[in-house]
Formats: sequence, structure tokens, C-alpha cells
Amino acid sequence: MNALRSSLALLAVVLAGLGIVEAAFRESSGDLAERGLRFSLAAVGGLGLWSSTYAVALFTIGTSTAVLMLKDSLLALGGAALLIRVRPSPAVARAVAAAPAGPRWAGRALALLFGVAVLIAVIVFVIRVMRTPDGFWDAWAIWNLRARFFVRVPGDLALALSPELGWNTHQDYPLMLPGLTAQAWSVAGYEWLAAPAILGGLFALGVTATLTSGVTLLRGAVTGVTAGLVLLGTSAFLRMASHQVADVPLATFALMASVLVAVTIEQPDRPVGPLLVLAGVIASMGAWTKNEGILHAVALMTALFFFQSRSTPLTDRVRQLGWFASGALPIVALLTYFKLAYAPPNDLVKDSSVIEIIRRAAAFPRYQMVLGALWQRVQQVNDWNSFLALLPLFLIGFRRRQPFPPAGRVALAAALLVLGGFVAVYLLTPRDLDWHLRTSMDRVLMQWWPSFIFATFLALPSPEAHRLPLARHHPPHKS
Amino acid sequence: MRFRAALLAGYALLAALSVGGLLYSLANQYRLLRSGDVRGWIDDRYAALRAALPSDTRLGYLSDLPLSDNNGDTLFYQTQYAVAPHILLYDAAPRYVIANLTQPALLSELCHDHRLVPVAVADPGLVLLRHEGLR
Repeated sequence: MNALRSSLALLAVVLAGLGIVEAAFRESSGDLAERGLRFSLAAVGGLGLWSSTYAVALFTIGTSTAVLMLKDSLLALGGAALLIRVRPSPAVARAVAAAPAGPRWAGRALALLFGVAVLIAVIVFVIRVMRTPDGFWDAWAIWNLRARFFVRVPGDLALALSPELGWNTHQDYPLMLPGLTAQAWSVAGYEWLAAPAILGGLFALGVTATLTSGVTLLRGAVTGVTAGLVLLGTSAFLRMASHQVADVPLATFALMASVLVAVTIEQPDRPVGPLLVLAGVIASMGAWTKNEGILHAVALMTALFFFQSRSTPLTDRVRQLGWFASGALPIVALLTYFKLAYAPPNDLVKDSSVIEIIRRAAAFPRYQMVLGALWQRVQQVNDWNSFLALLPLFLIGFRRRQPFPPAGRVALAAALLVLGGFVAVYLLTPRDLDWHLRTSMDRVLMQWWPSFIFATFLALPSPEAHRLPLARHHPPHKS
Repeated sequence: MRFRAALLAGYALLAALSVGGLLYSLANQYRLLRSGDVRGWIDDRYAALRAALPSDTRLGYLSDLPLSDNNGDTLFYQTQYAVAPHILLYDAAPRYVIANLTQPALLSELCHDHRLVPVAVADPGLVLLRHEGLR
């Protein structure tokens, strides 16, 4: 029985993930970076679908073994149906294979360097998990606690989300991570305590692979590998991944959406519509992971509308937003239902009156505290290496003579909007500001960090000859 | 040409800093692991207590650390995590109460103050209590 359940769950994740990604890309290029990007999108997207559909079952017909097996069968069949419909185009495969590449020795050296870095990162991650197997506060006070309720008293949502548990357990937080952990435990047949750590590791690998392959696809291997190394070399990244908190998964979804949007801008002869629909699906998975995911999605949509090439007609921009929003719609509907039917009001919102908000917004010392906390992070070499200072300096130094390319501009604008949103939340928080900054700023910055690295490397000039834009090779395309 | 060289140097600097950061993390984590700076599973401490819990949904909770204290907060929510789906209330009103003490010597005073008697002792600082006269 367990073997059947695990096989079904695995098939559901793999086929559903591959199905939505292949349906969006439609064509197979054979390019290594693109394959890496599609693989990481499929793996993480599959997990996202697996968890979102669990929540649908949780809210409707329950999560008995039979229901979950039926759900996974439907998910696997849906993914398989999408895969059967999609046929790779050999013409595109030839065109992209002809794109210029650097010398073979350089490629091997880069691959070796990156491979060693990933190996070290995996060892560091494993040691960290061995040292704190239950993760950090949010893991056991929020995410895994919720999963325990789902597994130990299936269907009793009132108990799982009881306000008596205290505001610290944030009953209004969405259920992506608890859904994944609860299902992993359910498939295992017991509370397999290593599962949340393994999920944390998968998301960490997913975000690293997406960043490296996404930048490589758009800017070449030297730039892509350097971007991936910067993420791995940020100690706070591996720390938070091992803490089993939701911030690295949210960072993964936010980055993936940003990469997909950038691909549609730089390679407009790809199937732009389906790719933007996929970007919307992935961005909404971020919103289903943490409330801040809504900010990431809205910032990306805003940046896509206002900051891409001026020559893009208004009707095209509206159409792009429509695609993105239509992809996000199902999971946004799930989130809205959860918020309306089950979640108590968010503690930051319910404890604030308009007068208090205005008073906080007008308090100059609060600005000093927030900016001071940011500056403190810039100086924390142990956690953030020196990258919080270096990447902005690189942007200023190397971009003086050239304008930002549109995709870089959109990605950077989205990242800055998100950062601005975080600053606004801190300025207006009803909680003690010092406590709020101390307990959350590192995690909040981590949600944003991979997208900011991506935006930076997209905006920077590439040290290698640019890969020929795919648009020159593709046949005229459809949406 | 100079611009490209500067750019390459910049990328090399970022890569070197990254690898340096990773090696530092590796050395640091290995040192901490070797020195025994390891937290065990939360459940290990609470397993015996959990086995003794009654079927009541809500359980009281008392500690020598208040919730306003960082460690008190941590201890409370770790207990909540371990005993889920029971819901912990930080007071002595429910029929059964969990005492989680950093100073086990305070147990008798706590029992006396709240008229509680021990039901099960998971470890000297972690005890399930019930109100006197309750069967």
C-alpha cells in the first residue's frame, strides 16, 4: 500500500510539474541551461501543485488516504495529458544548438568550480540539519506544527487554526509548506521528522538551479555560474534553508516567476502567453507559501507593466498582465477562500487603526531604525558575505555607460518594489519595531535575495560574448 | 577592452568571495559539530510526557519562565509543537497542566500554589500535573 502511495505521489509531482512546464515552453531546445531551468521549474512547480491540491481536498472532501490517492492519480493523469499534447519542435532544437559557446576548457573549469561549490553547500546544509534537526522557530512554531495538526487530527481545521494557539503561530499564514510536510508524513505512514529538512534542501537546490540556469540562458555560462556562486556563498541562504522556514521556498517561487517574465521579454518569439501564464501560476504558489508572496507577485506585475521597453504597445502590456493574472487565478482563489473561510485577520492589520498608521508613518526615528537595520545587514559579512554591498556597487559602477536592458530593468524594478514594500511594512508595523526587525529582517531579505541577484546579473553587462537571442532562430510564433 | 577586463576581474572577485564564504561556513559548521554544539530532536524530551497525556483537548501550562521571556516563549511553543493536537493555555485553569521548568526545584512550590499534584514525570523539569481532587 505504502509503495503504491509513494509511487502515486511521486508520479503526481513529476508529471504535473513536467506537464505545466512543457505546456508553457512547448518547444525543446536541447540547450543545457534551458533544460536545467525547465527541470527545476518542473520539480518545484510539481511540489507546488501537489500541495495546493492537498489544500483543496482539505477544504472540501477531506484528506483520507483514498482521497489523497485519487487526488494524486488525477494530478498525474492531468500532467501526462499535457505532456502527450506537447510535441518538441526539431527546428528550434537545431537553432539553439547553433548558439555560440565559449572554449571547451573554460566550460569544464566553470562546471567543475560550480560542482565543487554545490558539493560544499550540500555538506554545510547537512551539518546544519544535524545540529538543529527541527529547524528554527518558524519551523516548529508555525509550519510543522500546522502539519502535525493536519496529520494527527485530519479534517479538524478549526483546531489546527484555533486562535487559542496564540498569534505567534500565525493562523492566517497560507498552507504550502504544511501541505507538503503533512503529505510527506502521510505517504511515509509516520511523522518522518527528516521530511521538512529534505523539503528545505530541495527548495534550496531548486532556487540555486533556477538562478544559475536562468542567468546562463539569458547571459551565458560565466555570468550564470557567478550568480549561482553568489547565492551559495551567502551563508544566510544555507542557514535559512536548513531552518525549514518558508522564506527559501517563497524566494524560489518569486525567482522562478521573475526568470519566466525575463525570458518572455528577451526571447519574445517563444510562446509568450503560456510562459506568462506559468509565471502567474508560480507567483501564486509564492502567495500560497507566505503572505509576502502577494507582494512579490504584485511587484512583478507592476514592473512588467511599467518598466519594460517603451516601444511595447499598451495593448500588449495589458494582454501580458491578463496572461499572468489568469495563471495566478486558481491559486489566488484558493488563497482568498482560505482567508475568508478559515484565517483570522492578519495580526499586522487587525491591530492597526488609520490614526496609528499615520502616526507611525510620520515618525522619523522609525525610518532611522529600519534603514539602520538594513545597514547592519550590509555589514554582516558572516551572514551576507559582502554581497549586499557589492552587488549594488557593481550595478552602479558597471552600468554607467549603458542603459539597463528591458528584462534587467523589469527584474530590478520588481526587486526594488518588493524591498520598498518590506520597508513600508516595517514602518507601519504595530509590533515593537526593534523586535520585529530583529526577528524577521534576515528572513525577509532572503525571500528577496535570489530575485535581486538575478536582476543584478541581468542588468550587468556580461563578460562573455552574448548568446544570440533566440528570437533570431525561432520561426514566427504564436501565443 | 579595459572595461571588459575590469568586468572579468569583478566577476572573479565575486566568485572568489563566494567560494571563500562557502569554505568558511564549512569550517565553522564542522568545528561546531565537533565541539558538540548540537540540539537534539524536540520530541525526544517530550516523548514520555506525550504518552501520559489525557484526551482533553486543552491543557494548562506553567513554567518558571514567562512568555515575555525569549526562552520562555521558545519552551512554550516547543511544548505546543510536541503535544499537538492538544492546545496549550498558559495558565493553570484546565484540568491537566504541564509544568515545564528550567529549575525543577520549583515544582513543589508551583504545585502548592496552584493545588496541583503530579501525574507523570517525563524529566525532573517536565511534569504532567492535575488539580487535587480530580480523578
